[in-house]
Amino acid sequence: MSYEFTLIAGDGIGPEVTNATIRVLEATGVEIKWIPVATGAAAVAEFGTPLPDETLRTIEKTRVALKGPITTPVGHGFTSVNVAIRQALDLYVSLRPVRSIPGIKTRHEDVDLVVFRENTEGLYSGREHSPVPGVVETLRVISERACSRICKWANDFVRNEGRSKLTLVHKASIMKLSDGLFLDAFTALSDDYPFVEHEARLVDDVVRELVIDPSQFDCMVMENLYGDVLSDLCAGLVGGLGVVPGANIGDRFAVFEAVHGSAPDIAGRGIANPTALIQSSVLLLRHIGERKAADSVEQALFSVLSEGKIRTGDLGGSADTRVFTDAVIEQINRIR
Amino acid sequence: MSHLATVAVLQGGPTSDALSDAVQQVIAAAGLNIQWRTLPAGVRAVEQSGDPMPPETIDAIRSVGLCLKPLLRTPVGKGYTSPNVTLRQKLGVFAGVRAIRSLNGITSRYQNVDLVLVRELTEGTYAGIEHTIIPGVVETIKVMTQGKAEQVIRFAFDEARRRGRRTVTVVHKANIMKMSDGLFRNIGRQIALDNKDIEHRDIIADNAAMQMVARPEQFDVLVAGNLFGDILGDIGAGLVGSSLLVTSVNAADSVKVFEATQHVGRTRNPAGEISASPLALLMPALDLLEHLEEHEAAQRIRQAASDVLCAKARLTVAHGGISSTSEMTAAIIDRLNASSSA
Repeated sequence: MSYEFTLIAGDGIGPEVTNATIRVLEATGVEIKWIPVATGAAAVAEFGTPLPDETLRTIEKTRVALKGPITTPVGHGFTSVNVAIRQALDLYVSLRPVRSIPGIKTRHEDVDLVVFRENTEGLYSGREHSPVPGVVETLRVISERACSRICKWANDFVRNEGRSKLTLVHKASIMKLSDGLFLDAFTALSDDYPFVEHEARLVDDVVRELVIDPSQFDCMVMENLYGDVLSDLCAGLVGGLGVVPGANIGDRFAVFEAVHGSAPDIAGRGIANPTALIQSSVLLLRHIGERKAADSVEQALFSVLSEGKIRTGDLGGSADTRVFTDAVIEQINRIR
Repeated sequence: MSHLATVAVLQGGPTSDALSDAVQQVIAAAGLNIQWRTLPAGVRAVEQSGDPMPPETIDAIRSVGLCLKPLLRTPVGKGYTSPNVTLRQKLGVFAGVRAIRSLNGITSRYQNVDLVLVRELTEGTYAGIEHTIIPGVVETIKVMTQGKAEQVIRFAFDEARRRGRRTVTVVHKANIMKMSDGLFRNIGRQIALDNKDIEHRDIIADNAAMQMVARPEQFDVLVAGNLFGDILGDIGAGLVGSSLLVTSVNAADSVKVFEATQHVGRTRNPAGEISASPLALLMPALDLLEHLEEHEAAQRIRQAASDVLCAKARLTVAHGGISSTSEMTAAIIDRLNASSSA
């Protein structure tokens, strides 16, 4: 079977890491035809907007996109392109799995967590005003519908991926109505998933315990802001945004992306580390049911990183993007 | 021996009695003369007057100006509000200062953590302004005011200077909440101009969380709004391995309340004795001593507590032992005496 997916190369090092990822995917034997669309800084030059309609239409057609980092121009009145894509396509789940990577040494070992962040509500809608000078009000809207659908998505993921536990992260002790709604939605669904272990814990308790002993947790679902902070905290446990995957997923469309920045300082030099986007492509392969290919990419990537001889500069090595990618491809060929 | 200060100490029941006895004994053993004024609160006060935070207790704290306080349990039933919250509101507490320091003897993946976090305590989404718009849709209003932001950020710079710190980092999410957190960030930048002896930085909240767990040593004093302050404070507790080590100073205009951040519960040892860790109230008491400029005594007590933990004997349940609160306290005092005679 041959697939057709959207490719958003992105800004800065985006073209380099997306190119590397495409080469890795080619090596798996899964046939993918990529439809490149201009988005971000490149699109501003050509279309006068960082997010042309064509980008959204193409994703709607292909259902799946791979996306490099995009820089939101500061001070031009653009809202974040990343946020705009999520909203336009109703990508209500931010999926952020975090695993210790063999060979990347941090204070924590054997971390294996998944964060599901609600992507559409909370404090991120930009509804703010100043009723009187010196006072600002920001609206945080939480709906039962949004809480229920992400809790359901998270439960399905836990069950389908063979994971065991789902923790709701909340602060219903203080925000009794809004976080209470999330807690109620979570509790109401629990009966439908008898083989998933459910627990609800306060956000401050969870962050402390994540730092002390992350093995207490497995999968965690939460509101937008907590999810923003926790997914980055978890990334910090295993080596940072440069090595963790991310995806934004809705009922119809999914965008697999790098969550790190566009690193303009090293853009175009061919030395960027494609690890994060290659990891996101593993999520992509799993999403479309190509599990064998997904496993081979992951295994190949981890084996190169774990061996430690071929690494990019950010991980203390001297390999460039091409050499590192070649090494991953060679491993895939060995595994296949 | 001259009288150093008068300090109100709240007692909420048998466990907090044991903790405050422990603190008083240790501080006396360190040779300091503090006059303690014991006041009822929590469950103890309910037994006496039906109010977990009686007006007399609050008045007394206000007149004394310094208070040492365990984390009080909210009495069950009758719809009592948390006495901790009542006290903060009545005193007009606007900031909480968390001192986050590693202690040799408490296991952690991180060593030599030494951070101060200043948290705004009255605004943000934690103000609890919420309503249901239509069934199934709830709106929480996050309020941020220029006045409170200025007050807490100025306070953070003053704290930094008083504690001999070099850098204040303002935590915000202004890339998303351009008006509210934008206000907080911008006020930080303005106030920094009046405080050029202290270095100023700002950082986006999610990055702050990631950097704290990856490289905590890059931070010194952090100042954050209510919600981010709550989260970062507990990340800090994770860094040092236990909430027992994280102390909180709640600051109002002319009152400072030094308090524990961990509930010690009703821990008993196998012999049935109270076995709450004396560190729960001793660590905030050390912050009090620092406030009173008794740095050397605070350091000696810290070292004694650390020595006892490292010796792994005469420890309470929370530290893996079976000793009572008073036995572990005696062990700390023995260490203190040994070090002063050495």
